[in-house]
Amino acid sequence: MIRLSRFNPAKSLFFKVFLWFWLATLLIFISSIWLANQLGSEASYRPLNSMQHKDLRILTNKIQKQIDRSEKGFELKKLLNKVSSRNRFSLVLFDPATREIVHSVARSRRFKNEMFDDFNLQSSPLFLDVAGLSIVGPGIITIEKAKYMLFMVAPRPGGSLRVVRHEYPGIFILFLITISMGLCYLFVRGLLNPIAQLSLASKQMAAGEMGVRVAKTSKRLDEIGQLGRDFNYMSEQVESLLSSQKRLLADISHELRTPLTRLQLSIGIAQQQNESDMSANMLAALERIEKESLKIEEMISQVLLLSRLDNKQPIQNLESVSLEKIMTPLMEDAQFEAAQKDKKLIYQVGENISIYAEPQLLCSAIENILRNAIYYSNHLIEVSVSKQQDCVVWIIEDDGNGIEESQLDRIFEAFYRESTARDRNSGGVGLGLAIAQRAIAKHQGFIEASNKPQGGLRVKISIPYDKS
Amino acid sequence: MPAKKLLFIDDDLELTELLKEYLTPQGYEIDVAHDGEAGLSLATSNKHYDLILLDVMLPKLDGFEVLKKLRVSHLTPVLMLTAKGDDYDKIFGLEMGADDYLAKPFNHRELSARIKALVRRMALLPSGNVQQNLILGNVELSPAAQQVTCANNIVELTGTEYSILHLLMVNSGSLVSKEDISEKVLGKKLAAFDRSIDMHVSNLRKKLAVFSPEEKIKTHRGAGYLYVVPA
Repeated sequence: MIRLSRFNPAKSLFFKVFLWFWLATLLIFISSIWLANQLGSEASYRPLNSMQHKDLRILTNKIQKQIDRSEKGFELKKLLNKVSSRNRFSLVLFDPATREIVHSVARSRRFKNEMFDDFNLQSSPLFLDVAGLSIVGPGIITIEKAKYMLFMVAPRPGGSLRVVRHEYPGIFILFLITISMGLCYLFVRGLLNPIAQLSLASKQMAAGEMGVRVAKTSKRLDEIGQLGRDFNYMSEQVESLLSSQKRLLADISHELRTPLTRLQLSIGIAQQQNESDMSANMLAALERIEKESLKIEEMISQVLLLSRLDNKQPIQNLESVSLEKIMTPLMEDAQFEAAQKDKKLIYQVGENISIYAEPQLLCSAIENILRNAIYYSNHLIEVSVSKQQDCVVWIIEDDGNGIEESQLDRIFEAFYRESTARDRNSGGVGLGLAIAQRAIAKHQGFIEASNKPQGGLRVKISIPYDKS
Repeated sequence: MPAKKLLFIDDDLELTELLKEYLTPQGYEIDVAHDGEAGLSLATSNKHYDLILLDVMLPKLDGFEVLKKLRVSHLTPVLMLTAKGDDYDKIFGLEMGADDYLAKPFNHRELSARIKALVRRMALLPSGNVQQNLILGNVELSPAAQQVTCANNIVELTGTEYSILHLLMVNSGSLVSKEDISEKVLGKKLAAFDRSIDMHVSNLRKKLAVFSPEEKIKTHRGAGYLYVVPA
C-alpha cells in the first residue's frame, strides 16, 4: 500500500514529471497526425521518373497480355488481386467513360472517384500524392475494345506526416513548438506557483514579517508541499525564538524595576546620613552609585519602550499636532546642545502643517536622531523639514565620518553600536536609533540613513501628514 | 507644626520598609498597607492623611478601584505609583481624581520633591494674608478651611484642583503658565506634551460649572490659563 502510494503522481514529483512527459509525447503525436491529415489532403502531381515509367509500362503490358491471352469470362478481379498481392501496391481500374472505379483491390473505401478526375486517356502518366496515397498512372488497358485506365496505388511511405514535414517544415516546427510550449506552461505553472509563493514568503520574512506562512503550498502532497511545510516549521521556530528573545529582554527589564526602586531608595537613605560622618570617598562613591542607578533606570525604560513599540498594536494617543509645536522645543534644545560642543546647527523649516502623531513618541524619535547627528558631526549639523507630496520629510545631516555602507541597515537594530568595541563614550545604549525607527514605523512613516557623497551621515524621516 | 501623615499602599514589603526609613527623617509619619482593601479602609478611617501613595498593581483591590472608592468620600491627595513600560493610561488615573503619578523605578529625590509639593498646599499662599478668603464673583475660596464654594454651594475639590484654583485666583486677570502650575502645584518641571495640568483644569471647570455655567478659567492655547476677573 505504502509502496503503491510512492507511484502516485500527486505525491511524487518524479511520477508527475513522468506522466506529463508521456502526456506531452502522446498529444504531440496525435496532433501531428491530425495536422498531417489537414494539410496532406491537398493533391500534388509530379511527372514520373524513368524508373516509374518503366515499371508502369511493364506492368500494363503484363496485365494486357494476360487479358488478351485469357478467354471470355475470365475473372479480372482475380487477376488484379494476384498481381497486387505480389507487389506492394494495389491496382485500380478506372473507366474513363463512366468516370467510375471499375475495380480496386483492398481498402477500396480509401479510393474515391474524384481522385482520378484529372486523368483521361490522353494524359501522360503522372505521380499523384493525395490523401496519404501515391498514385501512379494511368496505364491504358483495353478490355473488349473498351479502354480503361490502370493505376498503381500505394500508401505513401511515412504517410502524410512525412509530406507535411517535407513540404511545410515551418508550419510543422511551429506547431510542435506551440503544443509543447502549452503543455510545458501548464506543467511548469503547477511547479512555479508554489515556488513563487515560497520565494515571496522568504522575502517577507527577511523584511521582518515573522508571521508569514505558506498556506496553499504546504497542502500539496508532493516534495514541494514538503518544502512548504518545512518552511512553515522554520518560520514558526524563528518567530518563537525571536519573540522569546524579545520577551526575555522585556521580562528582565520588568523584573529589574522592583530591585532598582529599592536600590534608589537605599541610596536616598544612605545620603541622608550626616555628611560629616562620611569620608569624601564615601560621598563620591554614593554619588557614583546614584548616577549609575539612574543610567540603569534609563536603559530599562528604553528597553521597555522598545518592547512596547515592537508589539503589533497601533499607538493609541494619536492627536493632530502642529509641526511647529513639535519642532520648536526640540530645536531649542538641540541648538543649545550643539553650541555647548562648539558646533553649528542650521535649521530650515517650510510651511507649518499639522501631523497626526503621538507627539511625545515622535519627539523622542527625532531627538534621538538629532542627538546622534550632533554627537558625530565635526562642525555642522543641518536640519530641514519640508512638505513633500503627502508626507512631512525631515532631513538631518551631519559632517562626520558617516557609516560604513554595509552597516547602514544595521544602525537601526537594537543594541547596535558602530564600533565593535562598544565604547560607552559614543553615548547611549544603542537603543536610540532602534526606538526612533520603531516610533516612526508606528506613525506609518519610514526612516532611512545614507552616506552623503561629501562625507557625513544623512537621515531621512518621512511621515504622512494630516490632510484634514 | 505636626508631622505630615502619609499612607503608603504597596504590596512590596521591602519597599514599604525602605520608604518608611527614608521619609521618617524628613518629618513624615508613615502608615503602610499591603493590599487594596486594607489600604482603602485605612484611607477612609478617621485618621487624617495628608497624602496617599498608591501603587497601581495591588492584591485584592487594584489601585484604580481604591482611588474610585476613596474619591466617593475623601479628597485626600493621591500620588499614583505606576510601573514604567506598563501600558497604563496616565490620563485615566488623572480623570479618576489622582493628583499626580510617578513611574517606578523613581529617583528618591524626585519622590521627595513630589511628596513635598502635594503635601504643602499652604506654601502656595503669599505670606501675610494666609487666612484671608479669596472672593471672585460667586466663587469663594477659604484657605483656612481649605474649602471652595460656588454660588453658596460647597465644591468638592481634590488637593491638586484646590491648589490650581488657588494659584489662578491669586493671580486672577493675568496668565499663569502651565510650567508655573506644574512646578508650584505638582513639584515637577512640565514635560513636553504632558497633559496632566490640562486634565486637572478640565476637572476643575466641570466641578465649578455644575453650580455656575459662565466661563471662569480661560485657556490660552499652549501658554497657560487665566482666571477671568468678574465684571
